[in-house]
Amino acid sequence: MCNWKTGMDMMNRTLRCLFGCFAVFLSCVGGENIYAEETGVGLIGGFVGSTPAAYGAIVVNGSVSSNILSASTSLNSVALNDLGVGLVGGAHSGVYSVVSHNGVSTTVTPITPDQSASRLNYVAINSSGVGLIGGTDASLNTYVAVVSGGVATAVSNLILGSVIEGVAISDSGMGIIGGSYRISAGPLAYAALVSGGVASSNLLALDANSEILSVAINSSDVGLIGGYDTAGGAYVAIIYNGTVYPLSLSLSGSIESVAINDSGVGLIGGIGNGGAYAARLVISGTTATVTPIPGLPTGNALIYSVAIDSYGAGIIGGRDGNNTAFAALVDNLAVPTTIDTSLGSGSIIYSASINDFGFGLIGGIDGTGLAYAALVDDQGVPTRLVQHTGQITSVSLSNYASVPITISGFRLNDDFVVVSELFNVLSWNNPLPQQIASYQLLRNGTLIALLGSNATSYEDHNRLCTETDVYILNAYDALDNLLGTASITIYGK
Amino acid sequence: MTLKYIASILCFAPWIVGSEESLPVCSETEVSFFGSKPVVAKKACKIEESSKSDIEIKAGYFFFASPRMRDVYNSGGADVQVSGAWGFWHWLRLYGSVEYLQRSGHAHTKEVPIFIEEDSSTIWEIPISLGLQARFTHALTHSSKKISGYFTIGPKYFFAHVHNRSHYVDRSMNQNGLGGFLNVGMAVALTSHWMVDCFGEGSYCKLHFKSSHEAAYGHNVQVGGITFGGGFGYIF
Repeated sequence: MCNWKTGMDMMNRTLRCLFGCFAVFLSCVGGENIYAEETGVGLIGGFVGSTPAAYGAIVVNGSVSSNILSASTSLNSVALNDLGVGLVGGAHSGVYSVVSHNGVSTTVTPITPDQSASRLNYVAINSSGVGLIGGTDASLNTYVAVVSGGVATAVSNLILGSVIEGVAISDSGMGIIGGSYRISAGPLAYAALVSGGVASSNLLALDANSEILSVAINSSDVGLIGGYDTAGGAYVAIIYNGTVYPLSLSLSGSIESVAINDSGVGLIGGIGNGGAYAARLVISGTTATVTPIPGLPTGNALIYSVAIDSYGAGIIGGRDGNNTAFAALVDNLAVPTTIDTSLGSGSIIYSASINDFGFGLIGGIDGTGLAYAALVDDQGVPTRLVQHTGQITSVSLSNYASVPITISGFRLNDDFVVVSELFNVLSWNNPLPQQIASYQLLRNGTLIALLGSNATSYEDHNRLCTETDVYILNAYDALDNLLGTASITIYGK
Repeated sequence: MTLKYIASILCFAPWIVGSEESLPVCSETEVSFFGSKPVVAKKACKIEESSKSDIEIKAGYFFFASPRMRDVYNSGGADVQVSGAWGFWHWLRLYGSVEYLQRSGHAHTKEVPIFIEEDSSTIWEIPISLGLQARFTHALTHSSKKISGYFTIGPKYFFAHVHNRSHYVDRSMNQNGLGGFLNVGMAVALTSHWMVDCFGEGSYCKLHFKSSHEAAYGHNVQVGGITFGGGFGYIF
């Protein structure tokens, strides 16, 4: 019997393969690794130098910007949304900033009020630019704040003394935090939902010696948390309507990283029975089908970071049994494709990210004291981006297109002599012919047209001669991710 | 043969188609005898006045006088008329006609010429003319035919209908108004009852079209123009 989900997976794989082959072909023709298709804009962060200074950089189609930060400390976490707006968080000296990239230049704005005494371990940002940051404040108390418009508002009702190990925020503004708090018997797992600036009570009722190490939430406010439980076993649970539904993994070890997309497909990774562990989850309501990813390294291996795109393809990163960096792409059938980083012993991948263009971004250290970051194409071929002294601790690869859409327009008079009407003619370029699936055109804030991917012009008729029209063109991919936007104003007389 | 024939002399004046009775008036020579020697004396050319009536069917080619109208309505131009004239005093006649003309084209888009099927437009008009016509006639030498010229002037009522093939302006628009016309022509009476005619006519009428479509603008336009054509008529 035909399984429609499997069928969709097969179709997605086929499309990815075709895009991948095209990219490889162009790469070969060019003779050098210049990305002929859009890779999306990425953000990488960590530290640089032996006396650590914060390091953050924008990645655009295989090119890395100079350091966008100037603080003398390290960066712990970065996040970038599909509008090119991101957050970076670190320790001290003001490395708590909103990063805004418009396809050409990058602006870094410190979060207010001053967070310089805090230590922000984790940051997350949603599609609207609302962020969630977590760590400790100047008094080393637990600190979680919602960041909107560059202003941080502390979340109340937290369990004091807890250690935040993960934050996530959905497009609706629902946040989720995870970590642990200390009791006499050891750490106790802590997870809470954040809504309206208030944290819920602890959703978990695990015994001592448990911890939540990673959290994720999708646009439907379905959450996924991972860590380890009292029995020393890996722990993963779905959070659905504020209730926790643990999944049975029958796995010793821990889940270090979790990810979930808007379709309810998840990816988890960590330490399993005798080696690295990762699995693909297909979540349905309060349950999930767990498909372990085969062929992962054994021994002292672990998966530090996982990420999943809107299509259900993922990326995992960590180290293998020989203490050498390990990373792999994971397709929709949970089949891994190892990324050949060519790194030696001592190298580690700390963070991995993937976007809907089929590109991945991995970051860590190369084992020789140098930071390592690489852009990975959809065939698993990495292109190294940095090799300065230091470390890449966190990476985020968005669906934000680096190539801006340029739009032009003018007003014409359609003259039938006895009667006439004015119309505006708009035309634009399509910088992403393989990715753009549709356009939305808005006039003065009102949607006036939904256009197909082939559209490069539009005529807007019956305009008033005295009226000024402001047009916004939004380009979307097949999953309605915003790829780019452009605007133009046509003035009336 | 010493007798001279009656010679025809054409005069440079408007001619009017006249009746059989008035035919030999302009080009006659008078013969008298001085002893046995004939003396020929030419009579002066005379334009005949006529008060006969006729009815006529005309066809012609019409084009707008307004350059803006010509820009848009740049094809077609068929013009048909039914006219009649009633001679009521010497060379003066009362003239009337009912006419139909049509032209079509495409909307003119300023700056960029975008001509697409949806922007096509058709205009037809029914002008009704009433005027005074002065006509003069002259008989042709060596022929029983008469040639005549006429000049007509008077008011003209226009009814105009415009059909626009566009979603963005009124698809159908009507307007009417009063203007004027001036008509000159030349006719040849083939027999005592049948004639052919060629003419040129200019007309003027300004109409204001009002748009009921949102964000479309109606304009004042000059719907008159120039018609050249010919006709076939019956004299009675």
